Amino acid sequence: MDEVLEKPASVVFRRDLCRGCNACEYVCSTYHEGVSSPSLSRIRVSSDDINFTWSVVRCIQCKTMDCYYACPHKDTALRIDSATGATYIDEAYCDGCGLCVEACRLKDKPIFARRHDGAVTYFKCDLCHERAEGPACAEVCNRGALTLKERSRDV
Amino acid sequence: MSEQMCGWAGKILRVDLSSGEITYDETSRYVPDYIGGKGIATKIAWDELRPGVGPFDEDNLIAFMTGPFAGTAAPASSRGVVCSCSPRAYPIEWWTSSNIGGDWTSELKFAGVDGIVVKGIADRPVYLWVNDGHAELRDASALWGEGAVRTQERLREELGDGAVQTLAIGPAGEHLVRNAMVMHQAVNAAGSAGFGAVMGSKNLKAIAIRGTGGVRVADPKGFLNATFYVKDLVKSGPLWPSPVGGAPAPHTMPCTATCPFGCPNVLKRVPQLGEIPGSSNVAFRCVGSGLILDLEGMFDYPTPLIEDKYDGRIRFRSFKSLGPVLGSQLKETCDNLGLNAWQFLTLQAWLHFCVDNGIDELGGEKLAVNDPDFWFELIRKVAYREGVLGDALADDLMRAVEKLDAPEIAREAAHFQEPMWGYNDHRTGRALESQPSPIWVFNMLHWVTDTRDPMTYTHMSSFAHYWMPPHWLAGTEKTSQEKLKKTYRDFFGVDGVLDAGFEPLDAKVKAAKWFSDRAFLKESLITCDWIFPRLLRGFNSWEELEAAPDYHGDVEAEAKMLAPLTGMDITNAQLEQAGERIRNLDRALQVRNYDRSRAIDETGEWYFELPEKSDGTKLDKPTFDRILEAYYQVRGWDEASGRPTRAKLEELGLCDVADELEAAGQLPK
Repeated sequence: MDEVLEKPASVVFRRDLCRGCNACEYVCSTYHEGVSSPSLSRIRVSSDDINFTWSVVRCIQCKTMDCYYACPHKDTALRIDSATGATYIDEAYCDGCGLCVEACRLKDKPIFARRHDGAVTYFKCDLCHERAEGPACAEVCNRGALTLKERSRDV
Repeated sequence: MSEQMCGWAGKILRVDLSSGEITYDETSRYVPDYIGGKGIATKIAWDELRPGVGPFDEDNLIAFMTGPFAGTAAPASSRGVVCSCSPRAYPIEWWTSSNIGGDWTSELKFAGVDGIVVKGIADRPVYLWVNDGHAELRDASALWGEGAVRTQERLREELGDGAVQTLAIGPAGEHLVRNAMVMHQAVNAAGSAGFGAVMGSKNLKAIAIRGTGGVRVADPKGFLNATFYVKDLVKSGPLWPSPVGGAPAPHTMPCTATCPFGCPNVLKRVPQLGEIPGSSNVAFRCVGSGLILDLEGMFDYPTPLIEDKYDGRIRFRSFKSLGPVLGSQLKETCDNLGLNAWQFLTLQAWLHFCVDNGIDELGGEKLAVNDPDFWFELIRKVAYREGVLGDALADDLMRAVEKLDAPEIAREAAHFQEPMWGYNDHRTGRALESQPSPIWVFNMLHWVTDTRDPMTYTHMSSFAHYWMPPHWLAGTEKTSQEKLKKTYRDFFGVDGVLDAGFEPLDAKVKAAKWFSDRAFLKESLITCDWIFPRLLRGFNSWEELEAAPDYHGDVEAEAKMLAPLTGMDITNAQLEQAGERIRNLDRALQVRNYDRSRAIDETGEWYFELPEKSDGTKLDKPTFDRILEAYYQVRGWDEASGRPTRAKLEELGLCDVADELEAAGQLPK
């Protein structure tokens, strides 16, 4: 059974239920950064409020974990949470090489750059793995557009 | 100092269009005393807006304000407010405000700005571009004449960023139509105070905002816990405020950031959001005062029930509307022209009335009220002030009947349509919806003492109504009137707040004062009308509601969020005092600039001699006087003049305001 990849827990998005209230961005950045800011959120809402369409960019916590395998400092900079299986970045060890972003297969990359004093580090969804209540974005979404899917071992 | 603020961005942008000068004011000068929004705007108006300045004068200022919660996770608390001297207000063009939803508020905060205060007149059309704290005026000549929604799309194209948030006016604002809106996105507006015309008079076509910063949170964990607590407290969506919650319906949309609910109120046809059972295909989104109800029958504006009860002289009839599809198209036409479609509710009823009473021509134009083309044409003519009728109606109904030299019966009908301050009826129980006593008594006090239709308090004071049968809400019969009354008794510390009728008067005026102070606080924080303050709580099920000993909510919800957000040790009592301070400062401004007095308040009394439509209750002048005096008394306002006393102003820290009123001879003896 070694070839069966485990699917980490993840936040599932339903486009048909999202109405673009942005609450996920605000709670995410508040929880992680102490600042309410879409630019510091690990989930990004894209709204067209004239034509009424909404989508989000967020890490789907894929089971292939391309970002993890691409990282030259895996298990220090790019880590896997033992409880949820989610990949996350420890920015203290991130050297800003950007290989994780390159490796990610999503069209809209959910790994974001932060520039400080000339240096760059990356940040992404960590599934709020240190938060007892689970992902803050899924908790705040009243419409069920964002829900937590538990870790699974499907083929 | 301002760099360190949490909650507030720290800066207020000051723009002088006459000189082109752009400066910054420190928000810390105004908070926490004036909170934000209407509070800060009214303080600035007190300091700078001189008596005699009218809406289109160079010295008039227009403020686009956010509050400390905008751009944060506080649920349904990212709305904004626009304040200025209003061209719509009748008969006196006075300072008032207009609430508006959308995302410009959050964007402005992310750009590092709490509010924009504009004065002066530009020598050519301009727009203001606020980009991460940098602000500049840009030429808008090419945009002049463009529609209010299309202008916003063109600005996004010009600025090359689809995330830019915009406020814009359409042709109606450019032509100084007194019902011109400030539009934001496709469905949000500061609609009912004519502020689009104020922008037009200043040659300010639009404001474009982009911010990539954030709102600092003093205690992130405490703040998030508070916001989740408040979300759980509310449970149900704002419209209608059912006691029992559930997931919001898919066809509803939040009007502003972080609203976990969504209003089934007003809107816009958005087929992609799906069919709505039993109605036209309309997406529901709360837009603040401004856009129209285009549901089946909603164009069917009910008029005061006076056919048999008001000695039969004036007869209104409720007419069949043009239907949801045409109604919706009419609304979109209004939106694009930047015209407040809400006004057409009353205009439609009034013009039908004219035709019914043998007036089939006004200003040389045939009133083809049953022809849809007539309405599309009329809307266009009003927006561009074309023709005698269009130009007259562009000055709103009360001024139009004078300009048109309309027959007496049509003038009287106009007054029924806009009984006070040039605003159409809402929540008095006389026209649009029933408001059985004592609900309308609270709302009457708000109407007669304020400056426009007081939607922001009447939503609050009407709240209990939605829990009181008979009501159209399924399941409302399961609410216990005894528990509801007990909840109000416990909260207000006095019996009889919800008893039908006017007695006990002390309970009625005490509640009315609280609603009013909280309304001014709400306009300053700025939270949703329908959700805050949370006097009653939501339940997960009817069974849970039936088992509950009472329905207490938590009116401290806002303070519980504001303290961890800002890091200030701010309590509910302090917030309520700030609400009272702002309410009194607004009254003082009305007194100083517009000679506001009891005599002006009393001009609204006649309307409440008409019977409430569901229970038939009404009052007479002596009863009105008794209620008004009791209200002034509990407010600390002089009974004879209706003006704030020195004692009250000093209690609220407004000694300088008292001094200035005294110097002008406007302070009660």
